[in-house]
Amino acid sequence: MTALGFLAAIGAFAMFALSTDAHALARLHVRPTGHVRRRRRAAAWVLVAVAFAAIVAGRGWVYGPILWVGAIMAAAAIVFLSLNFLPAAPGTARGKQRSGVLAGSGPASPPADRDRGYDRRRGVDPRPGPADRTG
Amino acid sequence: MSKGFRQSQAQLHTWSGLLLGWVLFVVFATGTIAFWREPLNRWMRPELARVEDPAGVLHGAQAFLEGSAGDATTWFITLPGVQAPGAQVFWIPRPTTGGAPARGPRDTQAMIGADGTAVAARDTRGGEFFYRFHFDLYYMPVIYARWLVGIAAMFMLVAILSGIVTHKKIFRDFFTLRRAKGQRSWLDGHNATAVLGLPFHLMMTYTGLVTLMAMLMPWATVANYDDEAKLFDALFPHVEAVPRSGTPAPLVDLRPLVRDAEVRLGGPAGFVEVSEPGDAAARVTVSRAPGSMLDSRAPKVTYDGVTGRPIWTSPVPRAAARTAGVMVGLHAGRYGDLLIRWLYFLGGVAGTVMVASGLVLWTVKRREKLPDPARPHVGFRLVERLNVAVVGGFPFAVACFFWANRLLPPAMESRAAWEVHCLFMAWVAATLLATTARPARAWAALLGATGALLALIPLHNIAFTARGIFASIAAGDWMPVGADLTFLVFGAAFLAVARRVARFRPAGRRPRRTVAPTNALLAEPAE
Repeated sequence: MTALGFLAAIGAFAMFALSTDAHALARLHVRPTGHVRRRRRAAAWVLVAVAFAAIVAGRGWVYGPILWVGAIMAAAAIVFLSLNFLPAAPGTARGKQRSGVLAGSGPASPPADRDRGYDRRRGVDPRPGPADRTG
Repeated sequence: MSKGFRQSQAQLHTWSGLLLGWVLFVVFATGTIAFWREPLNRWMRPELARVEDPAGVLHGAQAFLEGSAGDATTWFITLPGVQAPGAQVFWIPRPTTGGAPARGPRDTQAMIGADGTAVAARDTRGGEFFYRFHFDLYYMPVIYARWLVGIAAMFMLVAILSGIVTHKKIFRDFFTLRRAKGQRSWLDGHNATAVLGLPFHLMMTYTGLVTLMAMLMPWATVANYDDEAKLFDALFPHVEAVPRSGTPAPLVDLRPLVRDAEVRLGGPAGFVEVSEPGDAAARVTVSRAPGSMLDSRAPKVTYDGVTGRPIWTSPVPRAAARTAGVMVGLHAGRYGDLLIRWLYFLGGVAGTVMVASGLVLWTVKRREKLPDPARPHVGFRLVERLNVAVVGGFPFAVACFFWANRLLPPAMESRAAWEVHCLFMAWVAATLLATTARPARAWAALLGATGALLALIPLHNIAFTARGIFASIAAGDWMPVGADLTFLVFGAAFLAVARRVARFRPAGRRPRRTVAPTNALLAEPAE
């Protein structure tokens, strides 16, 4: 049960990551539409809940919630490390575009992706975020 | 308005993180290692066999104490867990009225090994050193050390909370790591280690303050308890002490008592205390093992030491005491099985990297704005050198500590203390290097030396101890195997970071140091 919960947590964070433009482009070579993005995020939340249920079922009410928090952190770390350090599949035409997006120098996103695009936030964010640059 | 608030939080974050950042780094690093306190106790005494029969060890402990400390006022026996090197026993000798001076603390403790006899292992503090150093530091009065650590923890809480406000984009940029991009990479690495472990960091900082709360904020206790003893009675209930009767009576066998206590307490026993052994008024108190429950304040049951009849059970703790106990338990993580331990350890590693990267980020960020990068101002140079001395030097010193444990002659006088002296001598040497060499050189040298030292320990174990990695695998004894593999992984990580640092050539016109090693850092450095 505990192992199942960990797998569900990893799946949840993979879904969260794939609902962002940059990682969806890098891994699936498709820019997700708003509908797809929402569905992936919903699936991610469901998986978070599944992980909680599975781990509490496996470990009981005292240790289950603690371990669930630990599983969430570990799963996020695993997804984070694998997204950033495992090489992506060989680039298609769209995959190449992705490397530009990641570097912050790619073409501006279409308006539909404004809220999640890396390029807008990092490249042409009109407000200079002072705190964002602070150590 | 919002911008002003975030800016003020950014400054708060910068300075609360920097001022005690070096203390925090050391506290975080030792606390992280201290999650392996018991395994390290055993790993640092490689001549000891694994405990297979805890009841036999307890019987041996009783026999040993009756022989060597029959006249003591109290015995304490720590029952061995699966990872412990044996049963640690110590006793309080009966105060002599005049005449002979009291014996030193070393004469009142012993380790009972797997075969039930007192062992002659090398004298070492083992994992206990990291545990105590985590909140008591060293070479200084405990009370000052705890105040310093407590204040550092408060700064940490401030730094975490203001950091959430400051870097509020971290939650949206969650999966982002821009590599080899100088300040960006450092910031991403700092954010990633912070956000990934955020629940852990918050919990640790807060519960860490709870462990020191009676010292840091005594007002509630002062207002409610006029006598400190009453507070301790309320917090740590214990059976009324009985005066010695003077009539000798043999002590009951402890093994059936412990078995009975385990049924009454609902979990494995961890600790046995015998007062007035060998007297008709003897009392035996058994506490539940802290590893078996979340509350760190274990319930106890007391028996008559002659008849073996139970006479007292600790009351069920009330809500406030239980809350505090659970928080301390959460902090120490003793309740956890191996899975939880690893999660704690990795969380601690992430926290250590977070503090380290935050400290380095301070210099990386300011270097680009220096009016004259060739001759930075005093404050900048101080922070830069301190970073090398602490972030680079302390892991190096820890590696030297482990080597001292392996290399100092077993018969050496006050050997355990010299192991610790070795750690601090290595740290002083690293600090000297940091103040004299160019920072880029010193970083590479210290990280590389740390990596090499850590990675070579498992080889030394194979060649010179009975607990080498292959021998342990053959014996099915997984604790030393796991420890040695962890040393190898950390050694490799340090070497990888050192290589990145050594190969780094500042890009662009402005000379910059050590920009890149974020990815290797994330792969896990920092003890």
